Amino acid sequence: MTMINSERQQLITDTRNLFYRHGLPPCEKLHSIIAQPLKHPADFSEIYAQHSISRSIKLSERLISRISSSYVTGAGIRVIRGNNTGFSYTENLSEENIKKCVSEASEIAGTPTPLSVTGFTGKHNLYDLPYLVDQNPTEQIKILRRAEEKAFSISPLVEKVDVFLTESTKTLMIVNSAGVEAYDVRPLLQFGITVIVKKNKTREGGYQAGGGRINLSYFDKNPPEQLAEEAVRIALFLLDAKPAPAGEMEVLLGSGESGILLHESIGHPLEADFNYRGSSAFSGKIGQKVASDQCTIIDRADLPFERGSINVDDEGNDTGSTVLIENGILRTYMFDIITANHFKTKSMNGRRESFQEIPYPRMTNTLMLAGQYSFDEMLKSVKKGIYAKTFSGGQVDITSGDFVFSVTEGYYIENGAIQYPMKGATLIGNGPEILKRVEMVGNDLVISDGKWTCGKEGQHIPVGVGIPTVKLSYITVGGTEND
Amino acid sequence: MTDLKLVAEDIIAISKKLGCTAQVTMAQTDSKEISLRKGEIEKLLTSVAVSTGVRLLKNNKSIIISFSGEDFENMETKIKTALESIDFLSPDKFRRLLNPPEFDGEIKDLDLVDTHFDQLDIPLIKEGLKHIETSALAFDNKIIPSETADFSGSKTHAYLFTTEGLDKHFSRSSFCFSYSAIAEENGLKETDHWSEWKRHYHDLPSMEHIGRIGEIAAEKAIKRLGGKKIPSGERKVVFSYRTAESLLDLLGDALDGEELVVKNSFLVDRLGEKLLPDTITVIDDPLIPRFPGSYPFDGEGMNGIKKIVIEKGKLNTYLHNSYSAAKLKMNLTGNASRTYNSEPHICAGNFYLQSGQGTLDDLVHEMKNGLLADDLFVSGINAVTGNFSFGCSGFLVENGVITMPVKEITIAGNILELYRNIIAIADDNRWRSSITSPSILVSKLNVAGT
Repeated sequence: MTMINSERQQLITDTRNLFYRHGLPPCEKLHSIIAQPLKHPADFSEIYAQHSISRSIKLSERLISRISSSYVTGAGIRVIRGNNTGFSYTENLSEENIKKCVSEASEIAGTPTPLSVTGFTGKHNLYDLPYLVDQNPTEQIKILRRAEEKAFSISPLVEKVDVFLTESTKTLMIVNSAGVEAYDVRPLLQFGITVIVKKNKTREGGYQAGGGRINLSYFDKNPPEQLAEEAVRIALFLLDAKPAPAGEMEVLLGSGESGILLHESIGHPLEADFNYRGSSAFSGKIGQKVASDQCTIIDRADLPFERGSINVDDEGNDTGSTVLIENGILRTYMFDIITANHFKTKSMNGRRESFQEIPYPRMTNTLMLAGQYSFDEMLKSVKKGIYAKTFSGGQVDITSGDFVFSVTEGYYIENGAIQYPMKGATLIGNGPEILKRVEMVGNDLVISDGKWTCGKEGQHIPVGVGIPTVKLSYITVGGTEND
Repeated sequence: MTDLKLVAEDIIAISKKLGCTAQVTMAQTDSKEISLRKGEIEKLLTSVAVSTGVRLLKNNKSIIISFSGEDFENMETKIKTALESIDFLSPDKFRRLLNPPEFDGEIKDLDLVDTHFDQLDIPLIKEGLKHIETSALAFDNKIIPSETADFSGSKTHAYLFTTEGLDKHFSRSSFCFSYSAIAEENGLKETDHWSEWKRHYHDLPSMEHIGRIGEIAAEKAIKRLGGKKIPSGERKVVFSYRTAESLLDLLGDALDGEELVVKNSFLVDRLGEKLLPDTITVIDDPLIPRFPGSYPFDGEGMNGIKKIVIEKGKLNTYLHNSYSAAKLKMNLTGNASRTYNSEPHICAGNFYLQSGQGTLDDLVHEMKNGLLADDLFVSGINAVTGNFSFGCSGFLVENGVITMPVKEITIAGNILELYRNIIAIADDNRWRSSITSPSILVSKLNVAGT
């Protein structure tokens, strides 16, 4: 989707007016305020102004139990000299406060090094029009109720249903000393349902989520009933699942949700700040073979409506698509302004949670492209192993590349056939090592529907992940049943 | 800066006028962070943040509006809009504000704030950070100058007001020096971290001794180099205090009143039972001067109280806010969290496992053969059953001595059973966060490796 000129003009006018109403000096003045600390032509300064509004509604134990709204306003000032960053923020947008921040941020010292930026053309228009959060919540409550009713109707074992819906709109204006003025209005919708089922004395929970940079029209294509069905299915699955076996074995990573494994164990180590410092397991390996030939991994900010998509990054630069690993060869990292200048390339991945934080190189939507194998072919090839279909989360140590992930829905496989459902499995391994153990890549790429949030340096941002079914020759499975 | 007390009084007055009761939670936090790498300040961050949470209650319904920033314009309109939405909520008779006798009592001075924050000597801090970095790099040539040495300091003033006459405030500060060392050998890297955290600046190590932070981080990173898997099987395990802390955190989660209300805990309906051996005593005490988890009053205004949560193995109490206490017909425990954008949750004060004797080395020696777990990837736990499976790294112990680093393994079991199987507790708590545990020795646990 592209934005026509009149739409873009309107967005710029509306955004400028919004911040002006909250006391921020007009743009022309901002340029001169942020120019004040520039002692050397190579110095860089920037203001990042933000206004966010969000509302969250929760249904629990058949009652609408919570409604909350939040308002966020503020601006962060950044001054870069060489490799060093001074930063200060204020939640009061008056000229006096902005100037105070500029003076605090400019205390940073550094050896001047020329800094170039990618710049902003406003070429993307990736989201639905923002939703007005201030209206009454009748429509939202109907959606919560539909999900709840469906969940209870599926099985008498369903004991408890919690559903929530959060909508937000984040408006940004970024002005920097390279002459950039960038604007974005980012909607974000997130839906989640938790179902507890009880059989005899055993309780299990199932969770399903969805959403993206979209308004309530999301539910036209993804009915709340369907999301509820999936949560109930997972909870019932866990009731009947057996404890997972432990030890080294073959693994099929399910399409879609296994993308979290890709994000954590391959994506993070490819963020340029870790490589600039030499602290990543992939440092110094550009141009080298780091994965099986079948692996092509990309980061794409430009997918319409996806949770990780952004029209402009949080440093005012155009976003796009980056091939990180191509047929097993490491091509490039993901960059923010500072690291892009160090590696002499373009920056498109500078992201931050809010005006209170400084940006870092971050992922948007990270995908492994489809391969050639059908799911059946891959399943048949497994002698003894597990099929890890969905995950509840994981962690990675960027430096060593070691990771651990918790499987929610898993199956034990023997002689090419699924034997029984299993739960409680943990996959543990090393990112760079498992990339080399990819034996087969499926033809079934799925983007996991809007549910993932990425944490780095204490900042949480929405991201997308996607992957086809992938077969690994072996991985350590931690389960409760020793072989 | 806006006078926060005036804003709060204004919100209280508007709420009264519009016929609802209200709680206003506010905090102003000033902070400073300095990161140094290769002798130069790479990042210098300063900020003043203002958070405001407004909880409006009417007809047993409660709604939240929160503000990050000084966006206090049109407050009356915002409250009116919220009150229009409140009608969509279902009434819940357990949602309420505390009444005067519940929040009465003397507010203890816990000595949590150090005014030194306002006089931080940046050049001196820079020297300290340089010491840390230099000491780490000098420790061994396998340490690479990759991560920054960090300082952070903050000072918070927190206020709490309600239409029921509650008007309390307190301040606290914190200061921390930390370093993450990266060790490299044969193209493989390992990292580890060390920090010193205090509420008062001058309780931190002096400039002569601050380099130890870098050395300890470096030593820990180097020890991890060359880690391997070990065969799967049942083993004795020592959890060093930092991994024992993660385990205690999970026990704390199971005591959370709100989780008990929704039956999402393995400790549902276990009050009064002797769950664990006599050697296990767990305490929650928010009233220890200068400690990380200390607070004079909780997020609803009730003064903090010390509780022996598990006394010689017997479960005495859960942790509550007013909602979970009322719903489960139990007494208030003063554990409401200070939140701005939601109803109060539950948080512990200084929550700790009572110490035994000796050091981590003593436990390793006593274990003789087994695993020393020094880092956990806490990810897979079933809150309802307490069953867990975590990624783990650490060291193999043979005949009472560490023989090699271990990585890429998982440990699995059940939290309650793990505490039941504790056979020795050391005396080495480190008070860096509100939940702390000494190192522990557990008689058996499933380990999955090769």
